[in-house]
Amino acid sequence: MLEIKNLQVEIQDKKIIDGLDLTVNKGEVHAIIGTNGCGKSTLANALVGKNDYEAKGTVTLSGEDILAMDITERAKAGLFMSFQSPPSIPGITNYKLVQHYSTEVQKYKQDIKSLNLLDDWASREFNEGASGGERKKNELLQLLQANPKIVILDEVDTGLDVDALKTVSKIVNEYKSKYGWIVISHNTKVLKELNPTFVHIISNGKINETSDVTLLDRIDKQGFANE
Amino acid sequence: MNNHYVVDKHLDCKINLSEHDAISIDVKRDAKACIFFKTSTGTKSTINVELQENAVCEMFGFFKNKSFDTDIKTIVVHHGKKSKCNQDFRFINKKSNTSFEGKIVIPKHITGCESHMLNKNILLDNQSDAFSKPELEIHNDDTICTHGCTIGALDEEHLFYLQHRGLTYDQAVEVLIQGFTHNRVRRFYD
Repeated sequence: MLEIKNLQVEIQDKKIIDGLDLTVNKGEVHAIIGTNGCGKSTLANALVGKNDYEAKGTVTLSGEDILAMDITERAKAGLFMSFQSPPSIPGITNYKLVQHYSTEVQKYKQDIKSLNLLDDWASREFNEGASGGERKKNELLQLLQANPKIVILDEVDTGLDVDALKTVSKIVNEYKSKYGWIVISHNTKVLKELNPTFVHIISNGKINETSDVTLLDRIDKQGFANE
Repeated sequence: MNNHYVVDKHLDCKINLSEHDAISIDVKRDAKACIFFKTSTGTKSTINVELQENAVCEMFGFFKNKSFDTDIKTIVVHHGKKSKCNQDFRFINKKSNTSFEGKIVIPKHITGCESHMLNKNILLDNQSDAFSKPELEIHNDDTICTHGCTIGALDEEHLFYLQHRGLTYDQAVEVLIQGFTHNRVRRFYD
């Protein structure tokens, strides 16, 4: 579904991603792990088309050339990123923003309940006064309305307490088969909760090693180096 | 044009400023005024406010300047004790220049006054400018007074976020502008 071939990403003439290949199919959870500054979040931002990220190579989603699209087109083509630090934006309510994808009010209300968000969440201004955990849950709430093809969770555990983390892993496991998942984190414990299909270690801007979930145990024991 | 308002009890109105206006608002003892300003042509205007004892004045200006300039001067003089004033002037500039100069005067024996002044500016392109100058003449300590100013572009991260949520660039800009004009605090007026 999502095919990345020889991806190269530069930010202000500095090469961060250098020859990365990755294929993500529906129902697969790909955990991306690596040291700070190895290019994990750059990969996520480059895929969704952030400005100033100069991307070369080939990225296709269901055969469509993603790199030729602008940010909005990529979102509409089915790429959804849950942000590392979702902003608060006054002037638009939580529900109003979601209306760009879906007008299924009943489903929206049910999802608010299942995520344990406040009853009046829909009419609140977008993330205004919301805690880090609520903001992350709001990302998932939007995900469930957007119904994309590929979900990118960037540093999913940032700002989450234990309960909120459980909610996130419940959602990922529940909707696993519906989407293709790229989950970025440096926390092996969190990734284990999400039960990934593949685990990839990024270093020097490319995928250095790929294995199954047992790789996380090895990283816990010996770090990222494969010796 | 010269417009003189004498407020004995209560005034709640909207004023559309034309090219050159001199507005004066005299708020009498215990009276309340709340005024919204805008312009559809650009303006170079002065707003003089005189407050008697226990008088209240709230002023809100929202100016969406597209290829025209706006220059606003306010002078608020607290003549009476325990008088209160709140000013909130916001400008969005596209190919426009704006200037806001706000002066607050609280004389020596006029105690118990409260006066606030806020000026916020968004510049939508490199051809726009904003100038802001607060001037506070406070002659006694028994006063609550604040002023604040911001000048900047729209937040790139917010634009990116909204576009990634499926809004076009223009729709994202519109949402952020709505947010910018939002959250006006009516401090004294019910």
